[in-house]
Amino acid sequence: MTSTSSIDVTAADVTAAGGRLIDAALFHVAGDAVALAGSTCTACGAVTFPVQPSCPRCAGDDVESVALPRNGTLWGFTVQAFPPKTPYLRADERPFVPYAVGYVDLDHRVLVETRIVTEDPAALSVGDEMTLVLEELQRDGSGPVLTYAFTPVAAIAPREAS
Amino acid sequence: VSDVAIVGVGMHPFGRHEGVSGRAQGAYAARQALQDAGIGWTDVQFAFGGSAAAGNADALVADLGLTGIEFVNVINGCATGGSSLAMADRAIRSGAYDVGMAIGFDKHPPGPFNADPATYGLGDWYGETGMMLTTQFFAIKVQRYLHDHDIDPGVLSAIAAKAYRNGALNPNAWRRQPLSAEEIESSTMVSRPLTKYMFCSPAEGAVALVLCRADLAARFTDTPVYLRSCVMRSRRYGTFEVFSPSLAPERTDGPTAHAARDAFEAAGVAPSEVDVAQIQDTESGAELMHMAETGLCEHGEQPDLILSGETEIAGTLPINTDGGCLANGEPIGASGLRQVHENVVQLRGTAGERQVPGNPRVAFTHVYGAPGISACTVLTR
Repeated sequence: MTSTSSIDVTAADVTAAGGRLIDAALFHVAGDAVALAGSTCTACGAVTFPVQPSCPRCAGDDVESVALPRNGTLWGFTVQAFPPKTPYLRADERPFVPYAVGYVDLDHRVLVETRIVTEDPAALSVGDEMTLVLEELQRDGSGPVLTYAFTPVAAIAPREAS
Repeated sequence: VSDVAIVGVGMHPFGRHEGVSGRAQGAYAARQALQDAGIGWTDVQFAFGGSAAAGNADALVADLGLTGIEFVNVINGCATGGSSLAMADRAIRSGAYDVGMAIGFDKHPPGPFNADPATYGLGDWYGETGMMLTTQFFAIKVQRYLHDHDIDPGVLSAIAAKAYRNGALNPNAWRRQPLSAEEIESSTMVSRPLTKYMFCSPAEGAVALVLCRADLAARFTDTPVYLRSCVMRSRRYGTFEVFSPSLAPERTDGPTAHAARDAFEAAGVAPSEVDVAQIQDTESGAELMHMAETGLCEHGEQPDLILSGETEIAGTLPINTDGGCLANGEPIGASGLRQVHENVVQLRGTAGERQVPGNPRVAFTHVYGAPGISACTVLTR
């Protein structure tokens, strides 16, 4: 999988932006490294996102919190073309900006549903290499509200090079 | 163990009915069904009913009569009607009751459903980040399905065009204006590859069915329709369902495949024997995928069947002869019962302009709802 360390999300990024994560429980922060937090069943190995207290596969209740891989491949997708109602944080956004959503296959351990950051949703295709980023969803009184998202590796590579 | 017959059906037209409450529509359908069976509400020993947005179904007893019966409210998303019928089926099949009713009504506000994350055990973040939309799920599922089976998306508008064509022949349907495949294709994009006219809308309407022990059917009607099986299933590990923040890496058969397989097996009927089918068409892609998931055809075989006209009313496998969810809209409590109502009418041979030719004998229904539940029935004359 392509390395995209230069855009890896770090705890320092979040702090520097003065922002807050939309739900801290979704994230696994170790030192300066931020990843999505999942759970792995110690009995059968099934992985879930977000963390849950028992295994949906074997019903075992011994699960460990793990940092999920930051890179994966696009499994399926669509574009949300009409504004969702509240509680969507951008429900009042005018004009409404359509956004892509889909599932990213993380090393064939789990598929995670995610917003997709891309300027060209029409160019997305199954199998695209994707990497984890933080996306600013909203700016409230205390700064930006950040959520996780994935973005195509191909879309960011040229910008990094320049 | 008693077999079950449907001996009375009633329906309040689907659509928008300003000034008419959902409950009033439910009472209308109930009275029609009772009249159809030639009985009164005092003859009904139990009822299972559902309404998602128009108050508790059992509020109907205030309209129909306070007779003291067991009346259970059912809440099972878009599969509510199928679940109400499944429970009514069990109540008779077990020998507990002889005569009962399955009923559903609803009255949703205009616009897409706006589900609450907490209802589905999800955190607020899921809705706040703009992922709590059933439309996205259906679009992602069909996008991947078209990819996996190398199907041209053009078939999606053909499916919707059939729905509106059939709806035009159905006096109870909401959308009675035929639309061309071109009009459907070029309508507003909702979630790629699905456009506005490929989606059904939340709506209003009501359906009631009177059921009884099969050996008593002749008391109520000359044209009983037998409920050979009614099976409801929920999701298993590895399936792709609506409102799933994560999925297992490998796919397995979903609730639709399990409910359909078990319903056919319980009925002793093969999918190839089906003469008419009503299957969940929340959007065009759902009909496409559910055709194969229910076993009515093979995966990838659908475009040939659809484009050659085999799923039309006069085809070899007529599907959604009343216009389906696309032409009728979806009042959640009633939608699954609408499908059974249509099949009863078809098997009785009283479907008028939309009657399937050749005296259909075997009919099948399928509903699907959040968060991954399905109910199927097999009906015969």
